[in-house]
Amino acid sequence: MKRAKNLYSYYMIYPALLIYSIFFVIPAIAGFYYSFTDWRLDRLELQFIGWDNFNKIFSDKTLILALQNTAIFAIVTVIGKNVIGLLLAVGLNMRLRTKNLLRAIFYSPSILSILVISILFTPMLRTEGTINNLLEAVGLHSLSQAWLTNPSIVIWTIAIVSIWQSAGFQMAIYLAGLQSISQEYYEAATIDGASSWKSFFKITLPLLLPAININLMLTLIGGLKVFSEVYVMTGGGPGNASQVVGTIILRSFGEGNWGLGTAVNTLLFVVVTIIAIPLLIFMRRKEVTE
Amino acid sequence: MYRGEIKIYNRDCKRIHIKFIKRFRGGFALKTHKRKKAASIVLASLLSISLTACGSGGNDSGTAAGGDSKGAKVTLELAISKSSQDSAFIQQDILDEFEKQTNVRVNLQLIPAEQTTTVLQTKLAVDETPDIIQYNLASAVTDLNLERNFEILDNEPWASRIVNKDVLSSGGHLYSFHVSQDTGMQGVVYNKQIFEDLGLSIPTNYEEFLAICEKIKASGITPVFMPYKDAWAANIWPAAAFADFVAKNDPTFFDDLNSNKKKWSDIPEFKTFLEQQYEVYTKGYTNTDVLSDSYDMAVGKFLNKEVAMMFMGDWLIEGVAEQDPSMELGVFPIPSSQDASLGASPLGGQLFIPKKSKHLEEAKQFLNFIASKEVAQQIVDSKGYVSNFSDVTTPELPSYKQDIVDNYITPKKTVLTTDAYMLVDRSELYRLLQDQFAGGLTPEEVLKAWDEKFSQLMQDKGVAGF
Amino acid sequence: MGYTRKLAIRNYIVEGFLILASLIVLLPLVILIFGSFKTSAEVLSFSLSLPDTWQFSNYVRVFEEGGLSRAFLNSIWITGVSSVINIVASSAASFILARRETKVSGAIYMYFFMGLIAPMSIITTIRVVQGLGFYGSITSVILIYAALNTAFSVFLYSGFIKTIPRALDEVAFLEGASVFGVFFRIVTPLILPVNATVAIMVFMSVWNDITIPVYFLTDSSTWTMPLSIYNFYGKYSRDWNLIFANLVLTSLPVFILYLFGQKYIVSGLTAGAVKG
Repeated sequence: MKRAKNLYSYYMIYPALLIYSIFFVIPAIAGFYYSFTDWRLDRLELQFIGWDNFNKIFSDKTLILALQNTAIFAIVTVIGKNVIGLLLAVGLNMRLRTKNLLRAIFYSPSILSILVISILFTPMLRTEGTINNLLEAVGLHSLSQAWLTNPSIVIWTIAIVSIWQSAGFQMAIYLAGLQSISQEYYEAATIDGASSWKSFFKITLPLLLPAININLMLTLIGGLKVFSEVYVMTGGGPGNASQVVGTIILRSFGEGNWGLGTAVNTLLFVVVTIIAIPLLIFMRRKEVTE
Repeated sequence: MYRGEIKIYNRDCKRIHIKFIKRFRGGFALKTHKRKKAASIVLASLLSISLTACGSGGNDSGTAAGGDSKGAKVTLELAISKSSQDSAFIQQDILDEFEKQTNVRVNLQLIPAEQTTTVLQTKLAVDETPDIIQYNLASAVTDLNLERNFEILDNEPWASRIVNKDVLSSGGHLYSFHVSQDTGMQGVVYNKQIFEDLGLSIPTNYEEFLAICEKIKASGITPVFMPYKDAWAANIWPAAAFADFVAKNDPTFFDDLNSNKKKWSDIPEFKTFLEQQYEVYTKGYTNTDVLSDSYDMAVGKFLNKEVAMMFMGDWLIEGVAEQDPSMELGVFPIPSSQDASLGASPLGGQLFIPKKSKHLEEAKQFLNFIASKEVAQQIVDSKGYVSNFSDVTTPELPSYKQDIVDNYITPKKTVLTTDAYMLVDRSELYRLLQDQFAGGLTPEEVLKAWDEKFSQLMQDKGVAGF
Repeated sequence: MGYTRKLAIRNYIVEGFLILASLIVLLPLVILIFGSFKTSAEVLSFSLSLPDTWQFSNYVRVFEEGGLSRAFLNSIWITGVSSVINIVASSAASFILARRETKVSGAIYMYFFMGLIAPMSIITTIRVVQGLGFYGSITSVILIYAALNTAFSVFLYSGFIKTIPRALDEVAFLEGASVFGVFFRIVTPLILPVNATVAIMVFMSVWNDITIPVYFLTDSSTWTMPLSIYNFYGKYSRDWNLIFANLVLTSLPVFILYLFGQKYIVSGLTAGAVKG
């Protein structure tokens, strides 16, 4: 009719676009340039060195370990946060009496900054710390570990702490998603005689796809780009046992090799993009639009 | 169709949405154009409100405490780590006095301790340099690229009155300022009371050290506290031990090392020293959670008399004394070899002036002010420093310091630790030491891995020979 | 009856299980809260025990030494303004992107999405702000926060706005409403649960951040509340009880906001419209 397509004017995008482009995109792109230079703390001049930094990256042994750790961390947290978050959301979406209180409780760890979490957990995870003491108290002495100092399990420990902190966040998003599913669908399904499992898989999950997409992307990207959790809890240690790509970047900066650090950062960006974008496109196609 | 009567039901089956639609009738069609404008005005005003209101906030703080500030009043920005807030140079009375005399205000830029280095590096890199920085000379060489970024102070009025220029210089030039010539002594900090009670005397070699550890352990006290979650603490023993050995047996070692003529693995005794430190742990003379206990627990451990010794610098003694003046702590050299010397490394807290400071003159004026006889004497007295000015007397020193001066400094039984000779960042070495304690690496492997990393870092830095 | 009964039992079991699970979550938090009332020595055990005496003085000390009243105001201002800017701008943008399904809008969506992956570069951001002439000001920090969270907000909004049927828009357009009107008057209230969720999350992320202020705010009197914790990192030791009290105080505003916003998330209006 009159202005069919142009009803939705682009004007409304401009504020966001402007702020975002000026204060984020431009600096980020400029930042990428440094990956191709020998930018260092001590040198005044900046020289373009092409792919040199990237070659150096691939011959670094510690980086292999970091990649491994990052992968473990990402997989564990994506699964943990989403499964637990979803279960919590489904549970807390039912008509329970203490619903609101429980929701607030489960969400509260994500309100605390990561600094808080590390300050709380690091002492508790010591060999004679609270966690092990509790395990002993309930007779599970055999499960007590050197949580943060055993090189083989340290990254798992950090992953679990991350899940503890963030599952409530995932839950909140799933809850918002569940709440926007019209009751009618369920009522119609019950009338048709469907069991709750069936309605879960045929109604809930598909209509929850936007929320699943969001949580999946956030946890995946967050997991691959992890930095603060590891840095504040172990600094990459003991030794280099819990290094992840994020902390390796900091290590390069600490050694004065800023160009190299930026290069690793750029590499991380490329890898995450390669993993996330196809996934995103795939999920968006499946979302239901009314 | 249905004009304006969309009914939306919420979960309680109440009709709530009709009102919205109804409001659209009438007024809306006419006001369409104005609405559009209204919304964008709202957005724009939000932005401008924050711009104006906060813009003044940003400038305000610059002259906040000034009071009667008319005309162009210069404000010096002094950047300092938050953990150094008790530094004598920034005490309010000194700053006020300076402002009174010169009408120059000093504003403190406090930086969270953990991020001090990165923030300063960033500020130097983007030319947002403060006018004065308080930092540690030894670290400044590598962390902040001393030569490139900081002013040479050789010709300042106070320079001629400095007694010990070495603790303030690098590469032959004076770069920093301090009223004290204290160096941090690094060795074994020990509880004198416990030693007296158990009838122990200071060990002169490694075997004697192990013996006293055994006696202390038998009395129920943990002999040594090792907080190696803070990886740098694991390097106190090696740094002193290496330096002591090299000073007596291979004086040119560090020069050779820094020009790639020798490697860390070349000296077999280094391996021994690393073994020694690890042995103290394996023999059960330390806390159990070596890798998860951190440095900030140390003071508490000493205060509770849970531990008797620690491989640390004498600044720890000050920290404990602050909490409990009755505690008597002392320090003796790392007993890695027979009659080892006490390790020394320059203390921190020096003042530096970046070349790109916007108020070079005023910054130098500030240093002059602190360097003046009255002010310097005041500071030296209040902090118990060993004065570095020819006309400022050293007050009576706390007993542990006097001991150090008498037993080690005066008879020249000190040696600069390896830190003084390093041109590159040593974090990887600290991490490798942690690996050793996690049971992952032998001393040989530690040295070999560190050699690799060391030469790579030196190469990156462009040091000749690598 | 059998069915409802079964439903009720199932609910009780679930509730019971969840209450148990919530204890896992509460544990560290309880340690935190109890610890904040303990003395410096007592708190070192990091245990669940109640404090011997309730040291309310910890809170008083933290409040004064940390300059919390000033820090609180700084935080509220910075977080509040940047969150509002971010949410309004992002939801408006997402609305358009969700409705216009063209290649261009898809590309813009990707452009925003990449913000979730791309790393922020502090040094170049400083240069941009320097170039614009307001480095060190609170405004720059507000705008930076608004920009940093745009990707996240657009991402979240885009997912949910799609669930609002177009039919509503179309009716309103017929009534002569402008696109602004449709957005602000119809869509925004309908996505209240999402709005509340995003608002809380953005607010929280900005509130808790400790890197931006350190690099972009040179005057420590403009520092935000979370940074006040560094006041209690002593030179040689940490006063955990004070640190805990500081953490509790710093987290309180966000928590209160969440409790308050919970109401709106709960009372979610369904997006399903019944045309009558």
